[in-house]
Amino acid sequence: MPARAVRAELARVESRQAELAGARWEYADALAAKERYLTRSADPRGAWLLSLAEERGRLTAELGELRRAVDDADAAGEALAEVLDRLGTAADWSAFDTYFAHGIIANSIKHDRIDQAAEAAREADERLAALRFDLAALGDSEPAAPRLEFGAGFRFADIFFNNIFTDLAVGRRIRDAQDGVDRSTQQVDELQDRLGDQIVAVTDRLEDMARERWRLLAR
Amino acid sequence: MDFSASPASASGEIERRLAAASQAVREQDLCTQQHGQLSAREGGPG
Repeated sequence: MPARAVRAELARVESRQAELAGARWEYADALAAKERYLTRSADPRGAWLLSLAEERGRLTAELGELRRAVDDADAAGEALAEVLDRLGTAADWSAFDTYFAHGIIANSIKHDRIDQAAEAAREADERLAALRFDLAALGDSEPAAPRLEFGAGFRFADIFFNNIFTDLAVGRRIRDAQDGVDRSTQQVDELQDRLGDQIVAVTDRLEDMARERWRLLAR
Repeated sequence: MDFSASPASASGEIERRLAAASQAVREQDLCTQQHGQLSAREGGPG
């Protein structure tokens, strides 16, 4: 086909595409009209369509909650990674202060890094609380989201601002905190996997239901 | 949709609307396919 003819045909197709721009919306609307008609009629398909619509509404809401939980789990994971990063820096300064320096400057920097880790931990705690809220909305089938584990009664601010531990004790506390954050991170990772699996299952079910609805309406 | 009409006519009207919409969607898919082919030809070696 000559180039001019190709361009002319292309223009014709584009014009037709513009005319058909609302076709999918009109088809969806026509299906919805038929669905409404059938659900108000004595047709046995009506009851089945109503049942599908009810389940679709429930699953769509669940999917929204699952996606919100995934977003919050991602945010919690990032916050925990930040805590680990800050704790790593604090641990380095703690070791330097303990074994090499003992001076006020190293001690001051160490406490500054601990302070930063504490701030990151507070942020992570908030993210994990949001995640627990999401999981509660998803029902009892979900395991509880992790809490930051810093050991019994361990509070960054209380311990580090008061300066009541020796350098060695502070170093040990930092390592305990790192272990706790590691465990929380692992739990969040596992939770993300489970949430991902649940999203796939719910999405598959919704697609099956959409096919079933279409099959009922197309008859 | 006028549901005050008889069930048979309401049903018939819905089915006609659905058939027309279904045909339009098929034509839209065909147009998309043709557009791709024509664009490739237009952009290809002349």
